[in-house]
Amino acid sequence: MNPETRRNRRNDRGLRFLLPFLTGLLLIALWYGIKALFNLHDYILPAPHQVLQAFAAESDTLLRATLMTFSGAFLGFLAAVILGAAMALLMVSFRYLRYSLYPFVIFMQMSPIIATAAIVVIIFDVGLQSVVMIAFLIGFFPIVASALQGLRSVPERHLELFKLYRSKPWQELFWLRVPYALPYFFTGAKIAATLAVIGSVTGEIFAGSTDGSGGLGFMIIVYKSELKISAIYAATLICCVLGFLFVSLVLYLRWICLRHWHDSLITAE
Amino acid sequence: MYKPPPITQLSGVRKRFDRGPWVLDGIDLQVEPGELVSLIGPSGCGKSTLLRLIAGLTQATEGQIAFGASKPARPEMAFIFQDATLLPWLSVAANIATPLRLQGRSREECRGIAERLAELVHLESVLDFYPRQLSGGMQMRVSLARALSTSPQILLMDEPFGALDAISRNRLNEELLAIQARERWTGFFVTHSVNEAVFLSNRIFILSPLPSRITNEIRIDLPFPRTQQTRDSRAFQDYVVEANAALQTVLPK
Repeated sequence: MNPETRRNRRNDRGLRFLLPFLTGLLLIALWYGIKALFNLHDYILPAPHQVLQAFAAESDTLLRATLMTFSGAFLGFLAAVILGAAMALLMVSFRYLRYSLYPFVIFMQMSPIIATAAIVVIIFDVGLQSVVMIAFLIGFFPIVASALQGLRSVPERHLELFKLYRSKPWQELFWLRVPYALPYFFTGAKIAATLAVIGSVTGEIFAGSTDGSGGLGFMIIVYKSELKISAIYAATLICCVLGFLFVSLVLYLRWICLRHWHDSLITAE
Repeated sequence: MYKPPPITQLSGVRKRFDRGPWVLDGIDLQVEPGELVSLIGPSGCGKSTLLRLIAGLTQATEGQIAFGASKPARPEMAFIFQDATLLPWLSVAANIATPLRLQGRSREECRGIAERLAELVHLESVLDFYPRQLSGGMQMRVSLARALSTSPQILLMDEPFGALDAISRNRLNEELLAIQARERWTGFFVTHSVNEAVFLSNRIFILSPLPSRITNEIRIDLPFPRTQQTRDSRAFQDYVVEANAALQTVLPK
């Protein structure tokens, strides 16, 4: 980057906050405008301030539901990260295991979230266990696939360097392959984090049960039957915020691990 | 007068990959301890393969490679690749000490050796930097320091300075000779530059295109230490002309 470009980027710092803020205001104005223009009823499109009111009115329920969805998605995501990384390590170390399982890892990534959610709920019934399971299943395969790709992309020269000094297999794995694979792993983890919340909420929508302890997806179904349309919007917004939090967590951890050396983090993202 | 046995002796070495064409077709050479020899030849002529055979990174299809009388059979070796091949997640100090860590030496010991080597290649001020913060020339110095960390008896260099500008390259050539004069390792140097080969070497081997053989051996009797004056000298220029002429005879018409 030449100095001039760099200076321009720096001057842009204020605009980077101002412009999204203005976009937000514009979208809200558009929202009111469309509602007025087409004369849409509150049951079809509630106004932004009605959504805010719904936040206040339903705060207790929404908070409880948010915690429920969060713990489900978080536990599932955590399990996907730990078991996914462990599986990738096993698959890079034992080649027969890799040959046996790799096609299925790729295959399972293709399964549609909605179908996965539906099947899990049918098998494990409504509740936290299903939500955890869905978040896990959705995150596990992308993490295995990307971590494994990283572990196996170490340049030949680096491997030869280690070979030349008669490195032991564990040294090659933990001092060369694992650090090299970290950026790949975080790419997988970011996908898993995005999908964890989406998957959990989808599962809860499918569950649609009545024991009153459901998460956000469950509450969306309840609000629908109660015709509390603005509350559905509120719950949806919370889902977005949750997903955003998950991804931010992954990006933060990535920054901690890679900031010293990885090119993608040298220029501010 | 006692003459030590050659530290590296190749006899009738031939190499092919799988059922492919012969890459090396009968290489015989002897290198004495403390010698610095260069291998030059047209690109793709198997110079790198020859280095990798000596390093044990690949096996000869036919022929023998012996390493003098020293036991164990394979002396301590180091390899410098075309690119610096540094580990980007490790600091300069940790990169220099990687071979020592692989051999199980303690962190403290490694730090001490890394500091001494960094001084040798003028990197003492950047010990805690990461590779991406260094220029290409400095990265190559780290690579050189890393290669020296195990006090190798044989140093194999595969066009290590090929990607550098002429000024950095000349300076590193001089520093390399200065280090060699102190540590007395035996060096094998692959290069495309006849000038570089003449400047660094006791002997130059010229390789033909595939299937590759050694067609010429030129002994360079320029006095050490060699400096910029050496490059400017008439004798140096004569050797360059001689080596170029020898190289011309093997180049495809």
